[in-house]
Amino acid sequence: MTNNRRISIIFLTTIILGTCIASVTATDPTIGSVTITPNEPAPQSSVNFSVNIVGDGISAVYLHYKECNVQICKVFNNISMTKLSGNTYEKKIKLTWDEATYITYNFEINSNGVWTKTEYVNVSLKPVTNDDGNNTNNNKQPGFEILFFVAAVGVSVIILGRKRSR
Amino acid sequence: MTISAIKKLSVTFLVFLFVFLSIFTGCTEKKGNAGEDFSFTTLDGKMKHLNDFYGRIIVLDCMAVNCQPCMFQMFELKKVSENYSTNNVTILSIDVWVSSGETASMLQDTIDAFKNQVNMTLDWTFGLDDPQGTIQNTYASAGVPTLYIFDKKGNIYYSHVGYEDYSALASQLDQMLSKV
Repeated sequence: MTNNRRISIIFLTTIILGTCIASVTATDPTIGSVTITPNEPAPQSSVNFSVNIVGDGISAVYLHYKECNVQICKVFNNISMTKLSGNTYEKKIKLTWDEATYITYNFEINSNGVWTKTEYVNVSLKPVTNDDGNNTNNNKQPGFEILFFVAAVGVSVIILGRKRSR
Repeated sequence: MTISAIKKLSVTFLVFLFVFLSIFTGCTEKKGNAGEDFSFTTLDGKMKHLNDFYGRIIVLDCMAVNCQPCMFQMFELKKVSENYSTNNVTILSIDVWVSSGETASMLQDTIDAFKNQVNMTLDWTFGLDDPQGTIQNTYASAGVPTLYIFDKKGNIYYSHVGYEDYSALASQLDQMLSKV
């Protein structure tokens, strides 16, 4: 009986320990500090994302980011992050849109086959200034200056033509 | 310079001007193109098609939850909903960032947040693109929000990339309704 009890206790202890270990390995990955360099990037500049992620069985980390302004957000899909030493994952991206005023990003992590997403975070972009120190947030309507130019040339041709015919 | 030469010059100039106007006024609007049908999943998990709504004027809002301009767009669409729902106008807001990880629960949370935080009921059809981003690739490749107005036969009457205010949308809808 004593031996049976001992065996039962060892068996139960083993099950409890096993369950504890399994539950620890199955926990969601923990997202640590996120470093964005520079912390206020400019449009069309390079930005480095670095994130610490603690967790077992992490097989993939993706960065999702979009470049936005008050009118529109543009889509740039999944970018795989590179694992550096320890728990640090890093990726350098190149912003492409000159009219973006902020970027919004999140991470998607595959841990033991389960995908986990973080909340989206916004990062303001440094306003671009021209040589005069003014913001270059001008209204870029394509080609309307050309219309005025063409109209002016046309009117001039007609007036000159009429004068010559006289 | 003879009068006939002046006439020739004038005609050339007018043709030139017409071509330029045609090119530049077509920057944001497409009229009369047949809209490509697509399927989407509603918040209650049903599969719907764009052509299920043919016979009504459709305002298609390609949007995303994690897109601030898209949230501002909701206020303008609410005005459209309030003022045009009796004119056979249907609004479809489709989340096209499913391929970037957005889900039905995130979309529902957003609708709930509008209700709870600004007391605004978004009382039109919401849906989600497929994970491959089919609608995104077809209708919102330039970004979100992207808005379309389809006529009752499913032709694209108007499109606009980016946030659009109520007055611009109402103006297009009024033009369409006046033709019906």
